[in-house]
Amino acid sequence: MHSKRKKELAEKLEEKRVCAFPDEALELVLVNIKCHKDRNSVSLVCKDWYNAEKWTRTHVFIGNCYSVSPQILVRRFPNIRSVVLKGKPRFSDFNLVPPNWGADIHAWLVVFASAYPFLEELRLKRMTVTDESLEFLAMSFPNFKALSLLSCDGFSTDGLAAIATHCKNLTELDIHENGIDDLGGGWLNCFPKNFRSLEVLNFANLNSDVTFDSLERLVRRCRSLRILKVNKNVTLEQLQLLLISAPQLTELGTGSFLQSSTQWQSTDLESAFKRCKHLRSLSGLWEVTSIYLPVLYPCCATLTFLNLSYASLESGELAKLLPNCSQLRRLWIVDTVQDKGLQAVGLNCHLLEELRVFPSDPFDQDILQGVTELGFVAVSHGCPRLRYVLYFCRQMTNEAVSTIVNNCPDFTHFRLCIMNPYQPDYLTNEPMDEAFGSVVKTCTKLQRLAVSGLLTDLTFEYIGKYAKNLETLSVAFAGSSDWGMQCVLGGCPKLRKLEIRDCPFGNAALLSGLEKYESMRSLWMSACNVTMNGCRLLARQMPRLNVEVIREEDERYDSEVNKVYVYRSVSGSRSDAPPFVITL
Amino acid sequence: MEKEGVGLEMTELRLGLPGDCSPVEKHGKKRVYTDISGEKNGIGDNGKTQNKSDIVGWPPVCSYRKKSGFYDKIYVKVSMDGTPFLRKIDLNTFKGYPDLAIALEKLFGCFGIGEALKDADSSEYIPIYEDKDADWMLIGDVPWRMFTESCKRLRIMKRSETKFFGLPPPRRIPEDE
Repeated sequence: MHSKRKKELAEKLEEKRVCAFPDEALELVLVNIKCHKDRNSVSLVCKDWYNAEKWTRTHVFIGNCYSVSPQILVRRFPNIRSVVLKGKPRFSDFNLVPPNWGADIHAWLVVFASAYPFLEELRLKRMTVTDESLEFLAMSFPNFKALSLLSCDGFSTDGLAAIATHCKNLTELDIHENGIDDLGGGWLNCFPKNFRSLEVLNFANLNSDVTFDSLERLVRRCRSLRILKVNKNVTLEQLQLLLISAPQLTELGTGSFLQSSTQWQSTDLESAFKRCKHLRSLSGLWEVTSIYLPVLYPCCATLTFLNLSYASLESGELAKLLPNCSQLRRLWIVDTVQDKGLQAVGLNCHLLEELRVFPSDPFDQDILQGVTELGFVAVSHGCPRLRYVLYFCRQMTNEAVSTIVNNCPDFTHFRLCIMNPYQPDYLTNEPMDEAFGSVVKTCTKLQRLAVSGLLTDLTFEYIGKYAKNLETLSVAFAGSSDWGMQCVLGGCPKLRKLEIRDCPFGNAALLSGLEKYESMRSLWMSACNVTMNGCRLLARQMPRLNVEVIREEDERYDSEVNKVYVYRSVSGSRSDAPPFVITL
Repeated sequence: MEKEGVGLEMTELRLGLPGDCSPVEKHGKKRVYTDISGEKNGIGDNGKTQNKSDIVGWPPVCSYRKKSGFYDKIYVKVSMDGTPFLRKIDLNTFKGYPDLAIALEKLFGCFGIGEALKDADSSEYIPIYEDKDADWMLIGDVPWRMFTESCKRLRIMKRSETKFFGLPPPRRIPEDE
């Protein structure tokens, strides 16, 4: 037991505070409560419960790294082993946040090194991570086990080398899509020869070659490896060798599916896949062609997640593949499959819960192909359990969306992106208000919504009135006036994240949310009609909010505000703000 | 309660902000968004149509997904002498000339393109491409990257159909090579 906790309990005994239930017993019970929302509730019961919970919390989730400081964190929770930290506003994924904005992990690591020497897990999203930080991490925490980086930037493969070299107990190295400087694949050779604890290895998004021999030997000696995602430079022949060494895999990310030599036989690969009887998830499949898809068929029967988002399949190829995948719960595909491909989804994947359709050519307005409302409707007919959708398309109708949500009323996440801004219902030429109206009216469990197309304030009236469980709302090129945003801020009792770009919402709208922002994680507004006066007023009225204006070089007028980011914080304004971030 | 007069002009297909008469420069305010209708489908000087959206960060595709190279596509048309239809290929899916040769052979159901790239005189086929300067060049002479950056379209000529070019007949490769 931590020495401070002993002291605390001793003091309590001295003060003769009546204890109906021994603290140690309470702690033993609380250890089993994992969900942080439940733990937050526990900590509010009474002082004893607050203390017991504080000492038994081992995992903390921080959705906005600037909402709290590392010092406050370690004082509040002294025994943390696992941290999830998220940094930049989500629109940084779309280049709307300038580089060097912040969210640097280093200050956190320094505090963790003294307060949490037994730290085991660190999962970061949209943070800046340097190689120095990765090396510091590797050297400071002897028990470190799991590192996951998603949408982070600032590091190179040298940082990965430091992790591989020094983290003797590493079980998880999960490098998702990041802004990583890929200097070469030598980092993989840094795992010591006797290192065998790896369970998760994901380097699918690195571009340079790793030494295949090193990889094969690593895979062979890590008998507990269950997740392996290689990058596209690993060939089919090499993949086959890896599968033979690791038939216990539950998640596999393949390399490139392009044939590299005419001598090699695909039947060997097929039997290698057949040996993998535990595969639940399959991804990678770069450049997969119909010649090689059949080798996957034997292991598709157990798949629950199929990620084809880097494989531009045609409708016929998907239609041949899917009958083998009746257990799919999650499917990510590219719109090259077109509506016909989506029909195949509706016909075959009746257990489907999540569908993401990515655009193959989002930036070229010439392209008219892709998926339409018909494909989405077809899926909804065959997949009534659908609850998560991300759908990029170039045309949609109000009626189609209404049909879709009537077929699938359980949506929790509805993200529809009609790629041309201000596009109306292409059949009736009306705004898409009724589409999103039907979504919020029908899908009572809706937590996340992204709207698009031509939208008036009516859409936001609907959202404010009906979306009782909505937590995240993304809006772009929509609305007619302040009233739209006011409706959302006046309704939506569970709203936590609101991100808006290119909408005609101004100061009146911004200020109508005064009382709301403290119950939210954050608000982002860019290219709207907000001015410095409005932001200053907000900052003055609400001292526990950080109101940050991002002022870029080419902005000429002092009164205009192009980007403002508002968030609640218990640690006051940022001390690391760069010159272009003006804290009001 | 409802905003008055959501008139017909609301449903008019325009490319400006709702309520705006002009899509750019309101109160001297800088807009990230530019009038995308202004960029008519012009043919750029590299022979490819330029109709790219100018809006920053739109459509909302994660920039790290863009980094993966998935969206770096170089589509060029391919014609083959004697075949009435054209094909379109994405040059970025190939790592080099051998990959390209295999793909072309599969596309048109023929053999000999690989040989042609190694030795221009040895094959029935003469693969050529039109470059940025509108010159027709033999495929295979320049480094791969340089080729993909300057290639506008491909053509596979058949030696038998080029009797007016004055080219020598295919050199027969001895069996023991």
